This record gives sequence, structure tokens and C-alpha cells, in this order.
Amino acid sequence: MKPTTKVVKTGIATCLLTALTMAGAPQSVAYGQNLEKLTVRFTWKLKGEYAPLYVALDKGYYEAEGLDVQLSEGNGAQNVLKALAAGTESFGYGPAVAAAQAVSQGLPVKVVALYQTSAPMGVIAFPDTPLKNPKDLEGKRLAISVGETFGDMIRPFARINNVDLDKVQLIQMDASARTMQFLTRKIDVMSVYLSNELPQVEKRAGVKFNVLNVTDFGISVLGSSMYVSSAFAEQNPETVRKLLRATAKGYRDAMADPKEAAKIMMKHMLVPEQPDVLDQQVEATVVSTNAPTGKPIGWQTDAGWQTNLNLLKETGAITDIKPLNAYFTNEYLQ
Amino acid sequence: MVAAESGVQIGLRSVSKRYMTASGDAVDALADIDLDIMAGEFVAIVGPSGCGKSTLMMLVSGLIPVTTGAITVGDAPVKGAVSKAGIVFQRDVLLDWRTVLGNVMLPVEIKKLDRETHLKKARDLLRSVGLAEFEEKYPAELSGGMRQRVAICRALVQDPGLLLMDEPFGALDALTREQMNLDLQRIWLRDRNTVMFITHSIEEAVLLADRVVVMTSRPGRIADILTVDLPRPRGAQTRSEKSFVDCVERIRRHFMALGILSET
Amino acid sequence: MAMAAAPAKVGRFRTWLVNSGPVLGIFIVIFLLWELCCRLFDVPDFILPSPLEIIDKMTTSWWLLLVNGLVTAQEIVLGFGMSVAIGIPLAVLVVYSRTFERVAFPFMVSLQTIPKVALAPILVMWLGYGILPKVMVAFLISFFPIVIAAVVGMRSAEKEMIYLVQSMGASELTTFLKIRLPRALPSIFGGLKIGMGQAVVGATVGEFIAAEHGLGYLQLISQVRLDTALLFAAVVVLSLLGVLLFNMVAWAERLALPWNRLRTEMIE
Repeated sequence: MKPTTKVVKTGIATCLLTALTMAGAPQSVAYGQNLEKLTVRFTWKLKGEYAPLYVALDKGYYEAEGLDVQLSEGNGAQNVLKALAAGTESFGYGPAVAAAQAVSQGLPVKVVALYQTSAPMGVIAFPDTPLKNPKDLEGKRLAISVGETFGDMIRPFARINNVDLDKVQLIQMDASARTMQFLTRKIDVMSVYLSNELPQVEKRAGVKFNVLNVTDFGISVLGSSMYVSSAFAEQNPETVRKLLRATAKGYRDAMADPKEAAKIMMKHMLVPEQPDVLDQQVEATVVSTNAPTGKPIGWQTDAGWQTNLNLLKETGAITDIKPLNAYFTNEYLQ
Repeated sequence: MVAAESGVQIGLRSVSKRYMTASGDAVDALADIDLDIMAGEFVAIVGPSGCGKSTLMMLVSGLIPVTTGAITVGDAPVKGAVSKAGIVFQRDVLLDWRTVLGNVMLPVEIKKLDRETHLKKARDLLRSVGLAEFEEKYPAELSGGMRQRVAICRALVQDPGLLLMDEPFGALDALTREQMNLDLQRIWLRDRNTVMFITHSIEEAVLLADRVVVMTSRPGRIADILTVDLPRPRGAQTRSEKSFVDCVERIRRHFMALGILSET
Repeated sequence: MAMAAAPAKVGRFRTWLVNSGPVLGIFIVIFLLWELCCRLFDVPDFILPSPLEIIDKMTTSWWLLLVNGLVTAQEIVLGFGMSVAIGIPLAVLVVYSRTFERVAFPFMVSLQTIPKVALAPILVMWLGYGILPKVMVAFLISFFPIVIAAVVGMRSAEKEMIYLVQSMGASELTTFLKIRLPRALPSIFGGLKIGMGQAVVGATVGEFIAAEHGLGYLQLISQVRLDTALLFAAVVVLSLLGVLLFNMVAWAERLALPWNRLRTEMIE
């Protein structure tokens, strides 16, 4: 009798402790009344690229449209897109390339705004390694990882620029290992997003790297975008419009004052980035924003998509190309 | 509840027990057992391994059913566990998580007997076996002999009419065993329960019992029943008395005649 | 046992010192060697931070580590709690029903062999990005050892014990409550200790796959930020958390099983 009672008492104590820890854990802050609640799921962890949305959040643009928006980190584009398709998330923000692949695989998702017509991809090397044009890749060790965009594009890149791939040492490794390997000089060149990793890595290494801008050399992939589950969009067209309108305002403000945007973003970061790195990231982001004159921010073109899809088909990233309206729509931007 | 002074009588008529092994063979553990034990009698059962003495005890306890025949305990036929029986196994089987007193009180709790009176009885029993200071200790802190004494107290606390003991002192060293024999006799003389005591040791049987049942094995049968006429109380010196030695010799010769013991 | 209070306290401290001294000593030696190597070879801090840098990071980011530590702790405790709440009754069913055992065991075993790292992304897809998938992973990874330990424990009652209570007229329920369950407790606690360790792993794996808070998340983001000192700091806090939770189970065991005192292990 006694031991069992003691166990029960201990069990109750544990439950109380659990309740206490639950009370202590961070909860989401915004509890708007009568606001429509939704989440925008980024495909990755917080970086300067996401600043414009934080500007929109901080300045109350979402709230003004009657939306209670939560901006949250995700765990990779594929998983976010799957969550959209499964209906557990409503909006995703990330590389349009991933969405193109998802749509080709039959996932019911759509890109409703394109914030970078061209993903700012580049290849970097330490100052002592010459990197002025693609041919300089020959004889170097290049890291490629699964799902990494440049690695997927390496063949067309080589073809367009007459690079002999046999002379380039391609080393396969996990995405998170690349930076370390590069910094310890185990690999010579590495692809980065110029708006994100470059400032970080440069700060860490304390040097200015040689940069080869991939877009200058014929490879242009669609960059960051807003995706939505097709079903959600059909059922809630006004919500999508409101979200995109408010987001566009955030972009305009960020483009006008990137430093302020960086400050705003810093406030919302649980684990802060170094301020100067964040500044550089935001700068690089706003400079590459898709804001065509006379059109809303994020406006997509048939031509842009077609080129991109052709490229993806060539590399084997997708097997067939569906009608363009399966991939994107501008209707919520109007 | 049956008064402790008068034990219950036991009757076995043409009792047999057959087991089916896993491979499908039949094993006759006991065959044709006829036995009458009187109220308050101390009967020892001696026999070689595998002669079914433990099975016999389990049948009397009602924990396993007979294959043929009938058993009565205190005039009532045995159908299921006999609640009047207090059992002591060779392993003391005390509950590690209960104190000594808690262990002794276990039957009281399970049978939902009156707690006050039986608590007093439990304490008395423990005192009578010299374990009064150990009431609040845990079994892990006691020696083998002490634990077995607790087991005996546990069997006795419920005022059983019948005490069934299956080689209770078999796991103890020789000196402790001798002491326990005397302790058991002292307790039994006070309460006069009916006792069915299984043992390998002829000396132990003769020292303790009124009658000794000699069994043979395969299948287990009663070969003979011998009366022990020695006066009580039997003490430490009894073992050297001529009458004791003669009795033991008689039984030993019996086993030799049965082929269970041999000189060669 | 008339002893003045002061000498008794000194005696206990001395005993603690003697017991824990060697372990502490080893830690200090490793600490010093590590610090030395970092300085001598001028190791960049994003590859291997020195112990002092890690400690510095821990003190400056203590709030961050604490808050995220609580989040992970919550996931672990909930997942572990689920394992106990579901595992023990399941074990009872296995012990008392042959049919159930035959049906349920293959399922449990195959569930156990699926690497949770593979299962986690699927759980995230179904359960969303909240706390639930992490709790589920912690649950799935910790429940099997608990079930097994409970089954083994409950089956370990010697047959004489069962005979004894049966002869006293105990019902099946009484036999279970008074004999099988208490008898099973030492084994169950063994399973709980293992399960707790597993739950820690499970929650962390869950966080690696998808999280916005927690020590596993901190480990991920510190890699993204190339803040290796934070990575190490998070690992240190995680292991301290694991030790703390393990000790809580051991302490609960001491409470529940006072008679088993000599045999319970605790990490001091």
C-alpha cells in the first residue's frame, strides 16, 4: 500500500511540475480580437531576407488589413510545401524553385507573389583563389549538397559557359557542413545566396571573398516567393489579397530604409544575428526585390516562369512541365 | 473463525494427480493416496525427491485440483483454495516492500479480518519468535532464519486450523535449522494447529511429528505410516536419546528396504 | 550515536568529496587541456570554442538558454508522461491477455525499430509545427523500454507468492495491486530511467526536424549563425537537463522504494 501511494504522490508532483513548466514556456504574443489569424511559414531560419515581412508586422500593416499574422521559421522548402498541401499551414515563403518542383509532383500549391525574379546566387572563394569567370572553377573543389540550387544547376551552368565539368572536383556533402569545410579550406569554392550566407561567412572569416555572380553568367532561377495552398486560396481569396497588399507595403518601406528594416527585424529575432551582418543581408535583399514599374510588387511573368521551368526540366529537377497557371497566379496581387 | 486450539482434521480418499507434460506425456505424480490426519496432529511426510510430497500438500491446500479422489478439510470437501490453511514454503517469499509487521499482517488485510485484534496477535507472534525489535525493518535486512520465522508468523496470524509446511527449513544452515525446529515445536504446542510438515530429513521428522508418513516415488504412494511415541516437549537432548535413535533407525531401514537408500 | 552536528556535516562533505572528487578532477583536467590546445594552436572559435568562451557564452546568454531549456524540458516531460500513462496500462494488458500480447507485440517492436529521425518529418507534416510532433517523437522513442520493463517486472512474481495470496483468498485484482504491481516497481523504475534518457533524445530529434524554440533549435540556429560557442553551450545545457531529469526519476524511485535504498544509482 505505502509504496504505491508514494508513487501516486510523486506522479501528481510531476504533473504539477509539468504544468509549471508549461506556464513558463514562451507563448505567442499577439492575441488580436476579431482579427483573422494566420501563419506565414518561412522555409528556413530567420535571415535578413525576411525583413520586409517583419516591417509589415511591426508597423501594423497586417493588422490594418484585419490579419493577425504569425511569422514562423520552417525546416526546409520541401517540408513547408508538404505542410501547405496537407492543409496544416496556410502560407509559405521561400524559393520559387522548390514550389515549381512541388507543383510538378502534383502538390496542390501555387506561387502568388514573386519577390525576387532572380535568386541572388553566387560562388565564392578565398582571396587567394582567382574567381573571375566560370572557367576558373576548373581544377577546384566545389561542394554540392542535396536540394542546393546551384548544385542542381551545375550542368547547364557548365554548358552555357563552356566549363569542362570533368576538371571540376565535385564533392557531395551535407548542407550544414559546407560552410565549415569552406572555412577550413577543405573545399575551394562554395555556392551561397549573396543576400544571406555571404555576409555571415565573410564576417566569420574576417575576409572579403572573391565572388562570382551566377546570374551574370546565364543561370537565372526564380528567387523568394510567397506560396499558398490552392484550396486555401480558393476559399479565402480576400485573405490572400490582404496579406500580399500588406507585405508589399513592408517591402516598400524596407526598400526605402533598409537600416530601419534591419533594426525592426533584430527585435523579433530570438537568437540575434550580428547587426552588421543583418544590415548587409537586408541591403542585398531590397536591392534584388521584384518591383516592376507600374505593377504591384511581386508581379510574375509567363516568360520568367517558362524560362525557369525549361531550365529545371533540362537539369532533371522536374520531369514534365504543366500549364503555367498551375504554378503561379497574379490574381491576388490585383 | 476456527479456534486455534483445535486444528482441523484432514481426510484423503483415493487421491491421485496426473499431469500432462508439454510433450503430451502423462505423468502420475500421485496415485491412490489414502490418509487421515486428526485434529491437532503433527504429521511429517518424508520421501525422496519427486515422490510427490509437495504435490500432496498443494492438493490439500486446494490450490491445485485432484485428478481423482476427494479431500476433506475440517469436514468440508476441498473445492478451491482452503482459507483455513496457513502455508509456509521453502522460500520465505516475504514481500520486500513491506516491513516485517506489514508482511505478517498481509493475510489479515487480504481476508479483511479485524485489524486491532490481529495486530496484537501479530506482535505477540513476532515476540514469541524473538523478532519484536524488527517489526519496522524490511526483509532485506534480516537473515534467512529470521525471514522464515516471519513467514511462519504470517501463516499463524490468521488463526489457521491447518498449517502446511513444505520443507520450510531446507534453505537454512544446520544450526539455524535445529533452532527453528525447537521454535516451531514451541509454537505448535501452544496453538495445537494441525500440521502437515514435508521434509527430507528423517531426524527432523521424528523430532517434530506425531506420525511420519513414508512415501515412495513414481508414482508417489504412501509406503508406510509410523507413529512416533516420544514424549513432548522434545528438546535438544532428545536427539541423543535411545528411543529417538531407534525411531530414526526404523524409518531409515524402511527407506533402505524400499531401495531409496543403499549401502553400496 | 551522540555526535555533534558540525563534525557530522564535515564528515558528509568529506564523503562527498571522496566520492565525487575523481570525476571532478577528470573534468578539470580535460578543461585545462582543451583551453591550452585552443590557445596554443590558435583554433578559430567557429571550429572549436575554448571552454572559457563556452562559459562566457553561457553566462551572457543564460536567459536564452534557460527559456529554451524549459521548452525542451516541457517536451521531454510531456512525451515521457505519455509513455508512462500509455505504456503501463499496455503492459498490464500484455501480462493479462495472451491474445493481446500476440497482437500488440509485433506492432510495438516494429514501431521501435523505425528510426524516429525518419518518422519525425512525417509527424510534422501531420501534426504541424507546434509542440505536438516533438512530444510524439519523445513518446514514441521512450515508450518501448517502459513497456518491456513493466511486463518483465509484473511477470517476475514468484509462483509461491501468487499461491500464498491465492490461498488467502485474494481476487485477481488484489493479487495485482498487492503483489504484481509492487513487485514490478523496481523493474519499472529501471525502464523509466532508460525511457527518460530516450525522451531527451526524442525531443531533441523532434526539434532538429522542426522547431522554433528549444535547445535542439538553438543547436540548429547556432550552426546557421556559425556561432559554435552557442552550439556547445546548448549541448552542455541539454546534458545538464538530461542529468537533472534522470536524477528526478532516481529520486522518485528512492521515495517509492525505500527498501531498495542500497541499490538505487544517482548521478551526483
